[in-house]
Amino acid sequence: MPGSQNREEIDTEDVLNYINNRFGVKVEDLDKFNIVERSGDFWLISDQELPDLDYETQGVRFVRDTGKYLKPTTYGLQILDEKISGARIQVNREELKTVLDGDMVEKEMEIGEGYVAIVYEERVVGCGLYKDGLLSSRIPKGRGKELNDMI
Amino acid sequence: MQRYKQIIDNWKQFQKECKRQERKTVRKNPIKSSEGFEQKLENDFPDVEQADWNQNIYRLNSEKSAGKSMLHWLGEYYVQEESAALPVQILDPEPGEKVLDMCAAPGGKTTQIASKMDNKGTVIANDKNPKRLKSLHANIYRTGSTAANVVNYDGRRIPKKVKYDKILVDAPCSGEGNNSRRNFKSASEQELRTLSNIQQKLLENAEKLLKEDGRIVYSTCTFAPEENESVVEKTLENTDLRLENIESDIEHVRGVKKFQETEFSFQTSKTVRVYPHHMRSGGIYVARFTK
Repeated sequence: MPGSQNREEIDTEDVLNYINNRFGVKVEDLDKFNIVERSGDFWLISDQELPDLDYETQGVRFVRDTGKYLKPTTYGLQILDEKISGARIQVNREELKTVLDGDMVEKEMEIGEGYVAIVYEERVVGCGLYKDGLLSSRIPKGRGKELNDMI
Repeated sequence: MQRYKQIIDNWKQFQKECKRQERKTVRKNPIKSSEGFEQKLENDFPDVEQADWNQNIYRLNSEKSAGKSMLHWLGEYYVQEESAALPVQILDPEPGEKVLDMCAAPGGKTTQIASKMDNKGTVIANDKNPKRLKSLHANIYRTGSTAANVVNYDGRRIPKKVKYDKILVDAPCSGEGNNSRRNFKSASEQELRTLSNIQQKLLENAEKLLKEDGRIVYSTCTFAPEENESVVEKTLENTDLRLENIESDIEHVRGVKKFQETEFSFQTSKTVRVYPHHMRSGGIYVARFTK
C-alpha cells in the first residue's frame, strides 16, 4: 500500500514525498507550513521557531504513522483541499451517508489502493480508504456523525 | 443586576435586552472559507447581514442553529458572540508575531487571532483546565489554525523563557454579561474577591512575558467594576504597564469613574464597556496596556 514504510526510517521528507506522490500536492503548496514530528505523528505548523514550552499540541495533526502506513488526517486533507489533485474520490449525498454509517461504497476508479480524499460538493471533507474497488470512511467517528446528521 | 443601575447608560433598555435572546452571530474564518462564502451563508441564513465594524462578523437574524451547517463543520466560520470579537480586534495581532492567549479555551479568540495573523506566526494558546483542552484542540483543528499551539499551564505561572509581541488576557470572570452562563445574575462578594485576585495575578505575569512596546489586552464578560476597573487600577499600581486609549466604532460606554464608594484614580475613559443593549450581544469590558 502506498505510504507503507519502515517506521524507523520515516521523517518529514518521507511525509512530503507521500503527500506529493499520493495526493499530487506540490511541494511549494506546503511551503507556508512546517512539518514537525511529535510522538510519531507529523504536524502542520506555521512557525518552526516555537518557544521552548511543554506543548500539548503544535498546529494541526497532519499525518499519522500507524507503524505500517502513513495515514493523512481528515483535518490535514481539509487544509490542503483544492491543492489535492490525486487520490480524490467524489461522492454524492447517498454515498457519503453510506460511508459515514460505516459501510462501503463501490467505486470504479483509476486510483491505487490506499488513503484518499473524500470530496463532497467540491470540498474535501476528509480521509477515506480505497481498497478492492471499495471506499470506506476514515473520518473520525464523532465528526462523521455530525456531518451525517447535517447532510 | 440592580447594583449596576447607576452605571448602566440606559437601564430600561438594558433590562429589556437581558430578557431577550441574544442575536446569533458568526465570524468568518478566512483560513478555511472558500470562494462564494457570503452566498453560501445567505443560502443557509437568508436574513444574514454583515457587521459594519468588523467585516468578518455576520449577524444571522435567524432561529436556525449556526452550529449545524456544513460551513461550520468545515471551519469556514466560527460561532461567536458579536461582542466577544472585540478584544482581538483591539489586540490587532499581525502576521509573523508571537502572541499569547493566556486563557484560551474553547478557542474562539485563539482562532480569531490566527485568522487575523493570516495563520502566519505563532499563537501560544494556553489554558489551565485540562478538561477544556479538548474543545480548544477541536476548534483549532476545525478552523485549520496551524499557527496555534496548545500549552497547559496555570496562566499565573507560564514560564518566562520567551517574550511576546502581544498578549490577550481574556480572564476567567463571573460572566455576568453572558446570558448563557448565568442568566445575567450578579456574582457574590466572595466570588468577586477570588476572581479579581486571579485576574490581577494573570495581568502581573502577562507584564513579565511582554516585550518592550508590546501590547496586552485585558477583557472580561462581566459588569462588575471589581473585576474590571479595580483590576486595571491595581495593575497600573503594581506594574510598569501603561494604559492606552481604545478607539472603537461600536456602540459602547467608557469605563466607570466611580462605583458605590470606590472612586478610581486612573483614566477609566480609556477603557471600554459594551452592554447587551449596545449590540444585542453579551456584555464585555476591554482595557489595553503597553509597556
